[in-house]
Amino acid sequence: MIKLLELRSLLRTYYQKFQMVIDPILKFLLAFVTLRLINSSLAYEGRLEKTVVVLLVSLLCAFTPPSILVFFSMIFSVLHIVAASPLMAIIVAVVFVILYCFFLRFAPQYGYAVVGIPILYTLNIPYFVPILLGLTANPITMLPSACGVIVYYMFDIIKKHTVLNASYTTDDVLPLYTEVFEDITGRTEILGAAFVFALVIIVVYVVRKLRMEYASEIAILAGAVVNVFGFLLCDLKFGTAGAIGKMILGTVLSALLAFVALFFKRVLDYTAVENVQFEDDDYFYYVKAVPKIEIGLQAREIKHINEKRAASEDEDEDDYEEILDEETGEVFFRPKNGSGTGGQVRRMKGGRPMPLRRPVRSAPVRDEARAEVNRNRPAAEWEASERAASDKTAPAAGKRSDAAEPVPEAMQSGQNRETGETVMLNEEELIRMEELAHRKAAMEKLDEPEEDNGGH
Amino acid sequence: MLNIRKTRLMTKLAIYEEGAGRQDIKLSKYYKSDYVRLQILKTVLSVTVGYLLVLALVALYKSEYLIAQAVTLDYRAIGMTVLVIYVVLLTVYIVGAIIGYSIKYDLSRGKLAKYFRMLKVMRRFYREEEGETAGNEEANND
Repeated sequence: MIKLLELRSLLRTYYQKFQMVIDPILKFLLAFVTLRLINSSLAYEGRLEKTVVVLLVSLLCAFTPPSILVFFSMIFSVLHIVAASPLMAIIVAVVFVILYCFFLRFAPQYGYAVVGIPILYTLNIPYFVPILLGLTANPITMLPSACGVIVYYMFDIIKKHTVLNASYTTDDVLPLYTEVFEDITGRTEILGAAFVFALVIIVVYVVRKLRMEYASEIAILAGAVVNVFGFLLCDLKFGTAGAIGKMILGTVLSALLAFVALFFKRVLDYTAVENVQFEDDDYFYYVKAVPKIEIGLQAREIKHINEKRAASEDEDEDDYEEILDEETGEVFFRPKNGSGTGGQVRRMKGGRPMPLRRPVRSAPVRDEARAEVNRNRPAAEWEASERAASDKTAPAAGKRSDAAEPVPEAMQSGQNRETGETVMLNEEELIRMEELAHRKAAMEKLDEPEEDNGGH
Repeated sequence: MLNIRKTRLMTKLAIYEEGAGRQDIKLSKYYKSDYVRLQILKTVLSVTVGYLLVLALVALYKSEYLIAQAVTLDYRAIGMTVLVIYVVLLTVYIVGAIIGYSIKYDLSRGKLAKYFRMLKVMRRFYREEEGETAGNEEANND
């Protein structure tokens, strides 16, 4: 997760830095791809297919608002159809005006949906557009999305009829128009697709607005599910069951793309650098306002695991830190750093230090390994691990059989390592040693009065 | 001397005015009822144009039949059907326009309230500056 946040921060930083370049480049690429797809789909006018024309128009779109791209897309489509059939071109232009009057006028800023849906239909992922609109906009985008569906089907039908009837004369234009009209009104799946897209937009929007964690992610999934079931119902209704697999695959791809879009939406929200100009009585101001929102990169920390300690450094008690056990009132001493012997010293509060060194009896291998690890741990982590270890060993103390076996075996077989190296003791062993010390002290106390009495 | 606080405030105002606030400031020139009425008028106009174009396309499609049956057609019934569809369509769009544009207006007022607060602070800055200037002039005259 932290890597994602770092990536987001990095992207945000670079976007802020190169926003003036990135935005036109992205718009240029979008316009170029859109116009190329229109040219390859309706290849009737050779002059429009020239790379120079496409590049020039794309360049213009790079520095103008997105609605200009929508306008040029419509112009390109109409001009292509003019080359094939002028009457059909007029009808297409009229249909565009009707769509504007009924739908697009109410949400002109979402006009790119009208271009996006037909283009993504050619890539089999038109479902991405309603999910994205639900995520980023409001339910009024149902209207432009319906426009997009109508435009796609209209061009699909016109293309089919224009190719078949390319040799039509002027007298044959009315029958051609009748055929196209009947085909358009006969394709009830146009209404079905527009309805499902509207439903997806509403569902994604409503779920996204819910006050819960991961609302946007759940909204994408909900939109994808509604999309699949909606189109399945449409397929059952209109009998076009052949494309079910393709539709499900397209929906999955669209949902994945929506997740990517969501990530970038969160990255680029409120990160745009603003360049504003204004003036007062005394000055002209040319201000570049850079948003402050940023997540800091993770600080890199270098840990020296096998750092050698200088031989001359004395190991006195200054190298230990004092840790008070509040429950027992005991004071522990622990090495401040990982180097040195790593021995632990324990003493009663105000009492004599009692180093826990065991020259003869060694701890089990398990405890030795733990001791090795503990030497290099920070104090808080060491305390936590010690508590966890004591919690684990305490309830199992009575049942300890398998884990405790290596100790007597090791002792019996004479495998003790008499190195004198200090080892960490677990809680049970410490308690046992304490009990022994108490018993010894009690015995000494019991002995003393007898001597006194004997003296009298 | 540049006043940093004033510059910050002016920058915020300029960002709002040149961005999201452009539309809101346009709406602030109208009363809500006037704005909604204007939008209803525009909607009626656009729906009428769109409906006429649809009728033209349908008429073109049915042109052969219309020409052949021109004498015997029941123009009254056709006219009533066309009119009823138009009224229903218009009603739906008008209701939608009233709801949609009212919400839009209310939302813009919410955003404008913050903008006006900033403008008030700005006015205070100017008053303070004028006061300082007047004080300096008096001191110079003395």
